[in-house]
Amino acid sequence: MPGKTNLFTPILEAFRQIGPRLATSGRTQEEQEVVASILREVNRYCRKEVDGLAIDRRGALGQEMLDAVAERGWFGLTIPEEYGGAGLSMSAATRIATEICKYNGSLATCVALHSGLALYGLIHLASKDLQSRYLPEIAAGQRIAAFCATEPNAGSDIGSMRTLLYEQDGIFRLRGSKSYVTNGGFAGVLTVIASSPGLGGARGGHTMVVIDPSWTGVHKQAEENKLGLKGPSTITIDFDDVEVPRDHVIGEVSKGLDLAHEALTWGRSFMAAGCLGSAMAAVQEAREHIAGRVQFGRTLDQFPLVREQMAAAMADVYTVETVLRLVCDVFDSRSGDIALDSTVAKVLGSERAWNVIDRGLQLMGGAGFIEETGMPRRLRDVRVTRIFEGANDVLRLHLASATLGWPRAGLQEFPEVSPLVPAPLRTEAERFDEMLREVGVCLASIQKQYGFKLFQRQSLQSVMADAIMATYGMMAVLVRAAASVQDQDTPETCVELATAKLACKRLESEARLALQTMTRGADDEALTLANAVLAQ
Amino acid sequence: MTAPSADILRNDVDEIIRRIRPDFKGEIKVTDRLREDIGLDSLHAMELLSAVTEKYELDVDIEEVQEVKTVGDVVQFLTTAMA
Repeated sequence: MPGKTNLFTPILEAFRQIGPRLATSGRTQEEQEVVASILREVNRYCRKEVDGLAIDRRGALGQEMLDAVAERGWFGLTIPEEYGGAGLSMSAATRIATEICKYNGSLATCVALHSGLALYGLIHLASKDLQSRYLPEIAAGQRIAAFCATEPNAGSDIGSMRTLLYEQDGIFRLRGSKSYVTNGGFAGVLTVIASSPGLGGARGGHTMVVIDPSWTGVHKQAEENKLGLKGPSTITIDFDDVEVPRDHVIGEVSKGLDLAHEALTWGRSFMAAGCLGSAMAAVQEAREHIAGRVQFGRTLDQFPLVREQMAAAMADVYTVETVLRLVCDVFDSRSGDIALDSTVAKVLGSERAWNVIDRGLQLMGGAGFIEETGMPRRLRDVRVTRIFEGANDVLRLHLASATLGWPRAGLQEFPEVSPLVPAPLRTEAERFDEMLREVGVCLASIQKQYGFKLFQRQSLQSVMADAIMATYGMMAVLVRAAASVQDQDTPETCVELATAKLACKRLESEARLALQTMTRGADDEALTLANAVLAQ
Repeated sequence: MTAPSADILRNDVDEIIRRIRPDFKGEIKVTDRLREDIGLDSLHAMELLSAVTEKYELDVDIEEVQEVKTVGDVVQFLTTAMA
């Protein structure tokens, strides 16, 4: 139970250093040029070749598309250059994932899951030998990666998995079944997390291993029939006493649960990148629609209500983009553990993307309900992002429970932002400082009042997480916008300033509502009804 | 409240661990690490501490339990808190 500093202080202490970095798409000029080049090709290829309607109709991306992605090197985005990949930072790689997702959620999910969650172990934790054996083929797209954690009885409760890594006559073997494996059907390499009692001197414990699906005993089941994301394969994979060479263990035996959490942390950032791309595309499509659609003698974008809704959607997109950039920066600069930051990016990103796409669909009226416009597909595709790689409801509980370990002294005093921002953002910064003070006092008071009894109060935890996420979002927006608008007066910075101001206002309202809910206490009416109709 | 014996505390901790981790088989030892040996992730570990503090109606300062890593640490923590 490590005592960690809170989510805010380290970022606030580096406020002025982080801000300028959030405007760039890579760590170096060279990386920024690589990103620009890949983005050009993503736009060229996707505009011409990626037909979302066709992907959904056939229920698969298709080998031709996978080959095209492989040929362009997009399966090697995060793989180090020494193994034939592009060696991109998280900041850079997530830019690519976002761009692909503007065109198609299925293709983006395939590439982003491969680049993020599925390859984290091999790229960051595996031995050099294992990396040399697999990463060159993966970078070349000859093997596509998948991550196997979920089981029929182990979803968010990852620790309760039954898939077993055991030793028999000196040989490691894997037995069990993993469900909802994204990319599973066409995967050429699997990272599997399994329970491993007795191995490595640990009585319980879990171990992460690399599995080649062509090995004897690996059986791929039929494709799932899903609500959305029809393109990437999603299947169950059975492991019937599969022999696992010892050198295919990733990291230390019995430490796999921690490693799986690390991989999920990375993966959630890539998922947030996809959510951002979907939301950006929805805004763009809705903007085009309201600019052309005439009702009551005016285009829709002339109506104040429509304009305000569009502005709100744009502010939400800016928030998601900024939080993601901040999380990537913290990771790339190795300035801290991003477990909670990426949780914020994932939850906030998936929920805002859902809301933005829903709003975009609404603004498009009846057209938004028609399959060919692409909006229904966006809505279906983004829905699962609130569920996979950690259901948002459970991630909220994780986030709130983590605050119990935050040193109380640090919650009483935070570095102030208002002296650090340019004049046009001063009001927002002052309101943020005030909000953070209130959140800090509230969290410290909850620590003192409830302690571990907080676990009996999930509703309280959920709203605590809401307050933290909204405040974090506000902080991110101020970090970025303060650097962008500093000493500049261009049309772009005027737009960014207006966006940041609206984003701050919306986030502050959310944080304020969550704080009010926290202090108001239990929802007695809901509890009464639940107790009356649900099993005790 | 009279402080229960160390054996009673051990039994209670074992019982709560088995409730949280019903698939854990075998004897629970004081030297077992909550994470590596029992398979409790951070949320489960918090749940365990929540349940024991609830059971004994303890008001615990979170900062007191930063070093709880094994089953023995949990029992020792309870013993100290109720002394």
